[in-house]
Amino acid sequence: MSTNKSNTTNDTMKKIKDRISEVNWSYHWDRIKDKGGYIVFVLTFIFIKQIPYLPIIGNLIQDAQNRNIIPNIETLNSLFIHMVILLIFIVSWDLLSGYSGQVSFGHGFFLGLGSYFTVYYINGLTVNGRALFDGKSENFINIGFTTIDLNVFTAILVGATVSAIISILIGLITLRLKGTYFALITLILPLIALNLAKNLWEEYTGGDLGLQTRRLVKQEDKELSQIVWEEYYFYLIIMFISIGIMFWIAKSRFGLALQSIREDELAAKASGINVRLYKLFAMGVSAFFAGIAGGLMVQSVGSPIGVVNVGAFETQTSFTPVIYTILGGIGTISGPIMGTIILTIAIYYLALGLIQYPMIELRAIAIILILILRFQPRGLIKADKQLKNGLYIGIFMAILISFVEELVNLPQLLATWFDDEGIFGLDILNIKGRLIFYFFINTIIGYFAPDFIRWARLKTWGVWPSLPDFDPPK
Amino acid sequence: MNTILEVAQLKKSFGGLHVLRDINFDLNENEIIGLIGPNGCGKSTTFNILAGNLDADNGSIKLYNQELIDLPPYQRNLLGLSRTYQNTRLWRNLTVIENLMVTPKNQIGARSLPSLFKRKAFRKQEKDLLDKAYSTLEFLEITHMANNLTSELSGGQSKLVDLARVLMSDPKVLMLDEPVAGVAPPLAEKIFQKVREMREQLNISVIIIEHNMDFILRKGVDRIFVMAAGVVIAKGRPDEIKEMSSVIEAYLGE
Repeated sequence: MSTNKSNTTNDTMKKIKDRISEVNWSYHWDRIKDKGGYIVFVLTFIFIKQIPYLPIIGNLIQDAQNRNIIPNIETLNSLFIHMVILLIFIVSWDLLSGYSGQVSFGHGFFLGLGSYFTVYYINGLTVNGRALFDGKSENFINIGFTTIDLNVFTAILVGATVSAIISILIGLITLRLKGTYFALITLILPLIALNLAKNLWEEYTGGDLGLQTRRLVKQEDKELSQIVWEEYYFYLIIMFISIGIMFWIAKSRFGLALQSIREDELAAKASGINVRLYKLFAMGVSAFFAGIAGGLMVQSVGSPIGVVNVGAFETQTSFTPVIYTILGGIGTISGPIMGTIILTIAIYYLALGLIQYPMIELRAIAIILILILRFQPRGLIKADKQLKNGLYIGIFMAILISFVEELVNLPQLLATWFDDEGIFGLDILNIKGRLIFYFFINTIIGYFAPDFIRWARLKTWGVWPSLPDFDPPK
Repeated sequence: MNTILEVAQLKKSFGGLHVLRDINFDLNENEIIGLIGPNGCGKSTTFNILAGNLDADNGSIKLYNQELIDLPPYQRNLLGLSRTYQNTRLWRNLTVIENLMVTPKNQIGARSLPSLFKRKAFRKQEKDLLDKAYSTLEFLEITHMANNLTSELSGGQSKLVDLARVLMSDPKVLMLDEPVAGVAPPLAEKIFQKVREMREQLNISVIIIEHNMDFILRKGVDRIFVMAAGVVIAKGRPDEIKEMSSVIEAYLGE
């Protein structure tokens, strides 16, 4: 009996071993490598608070923070809250414009609608002395790591739904419009809304000052430094769910149908795709998530109250996703994510590095965008290998040099080489300015180094490896 | 033999130009018909109207006794009317295999909720469709291009992918607009062979526009409709058509 039993266990062990050996590990490893960008993105966003305390790179990060190379933890928090909300907004734009090809230049309109209807749902709306609907009282609910106001959360969903419904109504009007004409209609929408909100309906919208409202996360009986992290993690969950849904839509057959409409609407129609329905759906989903971003944007002010004003209807808001997505790569989901992360960080560094000329970072971004459109029209995500390598080398060397610059007195040298005005307005005395300077120089070096090495090799050594003459066998 | 597609009194004018004056033809079940005629006689316009890409001024199109003239293009396609294009209209920034995966009908993945909850059926359908797509590509000898963008294909290959895309949608009536223009002769023969095979296996009917008279007279269409200046001037079997003086007149002049 006992031998029999051990035999069976041996058999099961063998089976398990066979199963394990059957698994194609290199295939799975390749898949993980393909998704490496996503994994790093998710882990960074989740563990951003713990990064200075990580076992290996923690000390390095803390050192960098002490040297002001990377911002301290409070700044990181506000930067990442800003980024998280922006990501929802920008990916929602890409789902409409990148996937279904209806390029919208007025996505801020849906953002603003989401913001305003969130606030109306919380505060109530009174028109001509008659209450259309009453405000909602506080209704706190504990969800483990934080306490949120459920009514405010509902309000965000309501605002997003209203935004989606209005977008579908607009979609019904603009169904037959394509390309430029659709873009013109959407361009004019937020301008109309801005005008109405500022002049005609100022008593309802609060004009430039805006309306005040409650916040999503309970503010009382906790320290501010703790509340901002609770807020961040709650927004992060909303972002992951939103982008997850949009990613899933984009990757499904539904997204494929949207892409086919973008590529050739006539052929899509003749291939059995209900173009109207798909277009309306794309608009609705896109406006829904833009509305969620709007509802969160009300909250993103670092004060105990949330504020909404007509700023969402400004042209600048509507152009934000266009710029960010084109930089990252239009028509993909990872493109706008990458574009948002890069540009948010770039604007932060440029704003502090170019401090002599206030607001010049936006002009700098414009120049970057022109260069990208000229040389990499498909965005950074599909950029040439050479440019990507150049950028990696630039980032790596900039950080490396900023760590070791004190050893060779580089800051003082730079200060004597360039006068106090700096170079191109870069503040050389400031670590951020030097960082941009190092990055710029090293990117150029990294970009042209392969060409130069090839040229130098051809001049000096010749073609390498220089094989001996080889006679083919007779 | 019962008639499945009936086109009657089709009229279309662009401004003052009467492209279609009076087009009448019918398609029997399990039949291949050819639509021929000189340039500008309205063959492609007829196709556009049949597929719904253009609105007719007047006339009726009946598929299985159902009036199609007011239906939008996608519904006509769902009823089983599929077409290819003279100048191929592929989705150029999608890969070949993605192009083929758009057209199949009743895809679970295209509806949001079923694709979440019917995972097993969804996976099975997905696998079947992929198998079908690859076997179609294999037949047309373009399997090696499956993961290339269609904008990278040559003209002849684009024609083949267009054909494959239509085949993926399980049509009942297949409308081929010059299917073998720009395709190497052996493959062109093979395509016609395949069309005839499909007619027998899948029980479909085919309308072909083709300029290569030699081809269409020799290689197996059942009936031919000859169009000239927006009207059907002759119809009949290929050997009958060959003899008709009106046809020779329309093609070669008096």
